[in-house]
This record gives sequence, structure tokens and C-alpha cells, in this order.
Amino acid sequence: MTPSGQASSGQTSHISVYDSVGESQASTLLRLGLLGPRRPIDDLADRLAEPGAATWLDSMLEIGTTAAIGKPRSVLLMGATSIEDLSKVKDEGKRRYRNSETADGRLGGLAIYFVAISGGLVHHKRNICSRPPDVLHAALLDLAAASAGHWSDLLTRAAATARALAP
Amino acid sequence: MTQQTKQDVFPPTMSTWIAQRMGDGAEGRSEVNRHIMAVYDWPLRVYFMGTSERWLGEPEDVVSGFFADRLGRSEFLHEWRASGMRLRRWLMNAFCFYLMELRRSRARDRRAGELDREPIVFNGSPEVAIDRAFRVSLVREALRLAQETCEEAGLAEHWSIFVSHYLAGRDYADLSKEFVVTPERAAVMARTAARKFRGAVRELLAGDGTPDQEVDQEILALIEEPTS
Repeated sequence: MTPSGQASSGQTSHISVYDSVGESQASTLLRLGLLGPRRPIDDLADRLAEPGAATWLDSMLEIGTTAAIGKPRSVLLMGATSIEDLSKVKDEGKRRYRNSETADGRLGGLAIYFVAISGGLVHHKRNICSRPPDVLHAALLDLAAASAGHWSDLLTRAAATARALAP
Repeated sequence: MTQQTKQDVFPPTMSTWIAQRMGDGAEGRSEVNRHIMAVYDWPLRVYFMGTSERWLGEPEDVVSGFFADRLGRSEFLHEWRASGMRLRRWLMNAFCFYLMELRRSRARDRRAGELDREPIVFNGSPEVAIDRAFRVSLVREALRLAQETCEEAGLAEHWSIFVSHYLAGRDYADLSKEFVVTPERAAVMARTAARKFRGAVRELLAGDGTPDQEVDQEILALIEEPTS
């Protein structure tokens, strides 16, 4: 298939909709092409969308969780994990984000930070960071969209809780 | 058609892809030509419809004739790449010359020579008209490419939610019932597809000749309603 070649056999159901896109709708859609001012979570989302990111994320979470509370990363998915432990993991993520000497290390710290916050939201219905729930909601959706598997599921469920907590 | 995967044929930028395929002989050039026709056919038709030369023929026939003539020349796209111009501008200029040639050719049968030196007259700003049409054409093609990318990645449902939300205006609560997911999951799926769409938009602009670091600026320039 070429970038502009004929549609594949499965690509039929939306074609007529595309042909009806006019100037106004094109402008709205074109905005989606903007990268805009980069936020740290945009860099993390891009990292999570790279090939091999699932392994990378697992590794970062394992290192951060073990360093913070001496337990494997899988506890982040468990309801039995205390809010105190999740806060420790979050703080470990923050520390790594601030102090790591490599870009990858900083992104790893950010991933640990958001996954720990997600654990707090999903398992305890509590926001353990200072970000307002509505801001957290959008950030978690962006990260969930870029990640895969059970971490994406955790981030998605956390976003739902953040929305429910928003005033 | 080669057996390359999407990632193989969609390297870092579309302009890179064009350059690579141009060096791949007749098959490669044919692919590049199909890509160019998919994106630029509509803008050139709009340009033609705004000129005083409508008598030359039906827009689709005239534009097809232009593509057949110019894209058949091996040096045409090499000259564009050397020019540093946006491809849509390059094609517009070339199309203008083509119309003059066509007019001269047609006029020989009637008023030989009279029109030879008269410029093509456009009602309004041709650049504005081309940009507006390019904006629409670019988005339509990006939608097709992103759909294909999503389907190849097993994200067909993500794409359907994206289309339903962004094109049909349905909210996630509504879509969550149809797709049997939570509203947040629907939003996440749409965002995943939106990332593919964003990639397609940026690839197509790179293919038009926009340097990577200027893509946001180019998008904003295209979005802002230009004045004639």
C-alpha cells in the first residue's frame, strides 16, 4: 500500500464521509495535526507509543516501585496496595524525573509518577498529587491513548475516577 | 506493488519517501505520481475553475492532462526538490504554464498567436484559493492514510470511534454504549487514532516540502483564514 494508493479492501466504510469534509471541518481537523507547545507528558506519550515501549515501561515501573517500597511493579495494579505505598512510589517517580541525568530516565520517572497516581485514583478514589482532577483527567487520557495493555487500562480507569472527582 | 510494510514505505518523512521512491525506477515514480494526484488534484481543479481559461475543457480533464504531461517528465520532481518551494506552489506555477501551452495549442485552430503572451487571469488570489483547497484535500487524504494505518495496526474500532466523534460529532457517552466500553475508554481509543491522524497530517505536509520544525507554523497558516 502506498501513502496515496488505493484503499485496502477493508477501507471502505468511512470514505464517503471523508469526501464530504468541507473547509470549516477541515480547519477543525487540521488542528489535530498540531504538536503545539510541548508538555512533559507529550514526550512521555511519544515514548510510550514507540516500538518496545511496553517492555521499557515495565522495566521503569519495576525499578521505581522496588526502589520506593521494595515490592514488584505488579502491586501498582492491586487494590491491597496502601495509599502510603502509592505515595512513596509517586515520590520516587518525581525524584527520578527531577534528578535523572538522561532523558529516558526522566521520562521513566514521569511514568512511575503517573502510574502511582493512577493507582491512588483507581484503588482508593483519592488524588495523591496536587494537580486538579480535571487537568489530571486530560493527562491520563493522553497517556492511556499512547500506552498498551494493563497500564493503559489502569490509566483509563484512573481518568474516569479523576473526572468523577472533578468539581 | 511491493511486499513492504507500512513502516517500510512510510519512513521518517513523506519527503524522504518521495525522494526514495523517485529513485526506484518506473514503479517508484508511479507511486509518487499517484500520491501527488491524490493530494493535489482538487487544489488544481479549484485553481482552474477560478481562471479565465475555463473554455479549455472540463477541470478533471485539464488537470489529468497536466499530471500526465508534467509527471511524465523525469526531471519535473527533481526540479521541484531543488527549488525549495512548497509542492502546491510549484504545481500551481507549472499548471499555469501548462494552461498557457494548452491555450496556445487550442488557439492555433482559431486565432493563432493572439493569446500567446497574455497571462492567465485568476479571479481573486490564486495562492489563497490553492491553500484553501489544499487544506481540504490534505485532511481528506490524511483521514484515508490514518484509517489505513489504524486498520493495519488492529485499531479499526479506535478509528471508527475517532470518526464518529470528530467527524460526526457524537459524544463519548453515546459512543460508549455502541462500542460497549466506558466513556473514558472511548476517549482513549479516539486519542490513539488521533495520534495516527496527526502523524498523517504531518507526513503530508512534509511531503509538500515543509521542514519538520515548521510544520506547526504551516498548519496554523493554513487554518487561519487567509485574505486575498
